[in-house]
Amino acid sequence: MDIKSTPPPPPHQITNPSRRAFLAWAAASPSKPMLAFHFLRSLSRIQGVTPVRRRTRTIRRAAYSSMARAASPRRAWSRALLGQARARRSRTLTGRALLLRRRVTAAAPAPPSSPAARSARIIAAGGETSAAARPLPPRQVGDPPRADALRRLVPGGAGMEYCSLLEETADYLRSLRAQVQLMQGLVDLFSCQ
Amino acid sequence: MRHPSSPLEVPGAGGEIQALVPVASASGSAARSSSGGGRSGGSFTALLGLPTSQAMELLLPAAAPAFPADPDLVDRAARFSAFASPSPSSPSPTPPPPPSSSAAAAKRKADPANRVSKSKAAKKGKTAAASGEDKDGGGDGDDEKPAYVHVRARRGQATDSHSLAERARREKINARMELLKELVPGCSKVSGTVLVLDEIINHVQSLQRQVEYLSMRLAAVNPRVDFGGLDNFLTTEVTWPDMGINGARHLMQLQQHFWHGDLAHPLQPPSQWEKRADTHPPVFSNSSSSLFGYDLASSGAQPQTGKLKTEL
Repeated sequence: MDIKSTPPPPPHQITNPSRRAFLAWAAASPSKPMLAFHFLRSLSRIQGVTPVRRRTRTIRRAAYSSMARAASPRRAWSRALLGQARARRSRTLTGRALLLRRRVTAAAPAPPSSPAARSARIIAAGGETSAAARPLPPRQVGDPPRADALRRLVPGGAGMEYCSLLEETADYLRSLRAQVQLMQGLVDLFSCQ
Repeated sequence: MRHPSSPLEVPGAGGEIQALVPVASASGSAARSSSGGGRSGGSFTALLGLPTSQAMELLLPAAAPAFPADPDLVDRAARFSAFASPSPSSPSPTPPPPPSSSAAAAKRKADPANRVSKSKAAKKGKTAAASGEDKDGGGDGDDEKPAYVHVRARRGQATDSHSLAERARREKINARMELLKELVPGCSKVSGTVLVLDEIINHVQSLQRQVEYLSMRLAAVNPRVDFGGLDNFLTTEVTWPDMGINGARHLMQLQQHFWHGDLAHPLQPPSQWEKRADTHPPVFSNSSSSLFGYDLASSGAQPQTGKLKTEL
């Protein structure tokens, strides 16, 4: 497993050479400082909170969330990733909010004005839009043979045309590569101390 | 080869010679089919659809390079075309006996040359007709859709709006594939769409596996390590791309804002997300305040988020 572009920061203490190397890496693509910021923040939080057993899964989800946050919200994949994170969180709702959500999704258009129901409706709307989008894939029958595999890989790829799927894949690839470089640099930094 | 020909053959021979020369292939085939019946010269010009003078003009230059440079042959050819002129009586008895044999000879000699020139002319005519149709179709197409995509129709390609849109879409897809090929290492030498797509899929899968592996390693990192310290180091040391000299000051502001939940800061990249909802550290608490703080639906402007949080 190799890293293609600028090398990760060398595994020393935080001294001048590693700082310069980090700056060189950060300046290589415009979103890398944002990525590092979000990811490190979440990492520091995870270290304090989560037990050791589920840490891998949590760190992975944090990686994808920080990737989505660092990307432009115009990108469909970043919206889809954050929607997934939100859905995952809302799956573990407290009891009352869960009941409210079920009631609201049963009677779809009625807007009760209570604040909890309103916020639950927003969450349900997020879930509903994803459900409504499923029966209408736009123009997907004439795709080249590997397009469905690509749709499964790229988040939010199911509801897209082939043309925009390629564009999203390119952006997703760039962001993934930046994330992998960041994580590799962190691992090198902290495993050799 | 010269052999005696009956006078009956003459009009047929003349018709044939004259039929070998016309420009349009369709009329040529029609001429050949009707040459047996075409006894009078008037039918010939009717065949060409041109007045007599223009017919003779066509015939003579067309005939002259095709024929060998034989002046009396050209004369006889001219007299044959004068066969079609409105004075059929005087040339018609005189040309038939002497030019009959020579007509046959001329026919023999000229046949391959004429066939060649005819095919050339026919091809030219066909492509002229086709490009004329192309231009006409392109003109009609342009007239029908009064704007948007100005795609030049290539030679021999259809120009209706469906195929134009298809071609534009294909070009867009090809451009994106080029971009992807640049991103994926080792993909530029692969040719063919399916293999490139395979490479792209493999690359994405390998990157995702790497994320999984590295997250496992990060989870195993010694918990003595202080990630928060590194966080501070980053925000104070990293220079944002647009800020320049004022970077440090803005960075301090930014840090304060992030930690205290205030969202008014000038930077462009964080503002797109931060303005929406993200005032808390990301992800993993089950408290409902952070839950609603992450409302990133496009209707979620900042005052609405603030209202949500206060109403909780």
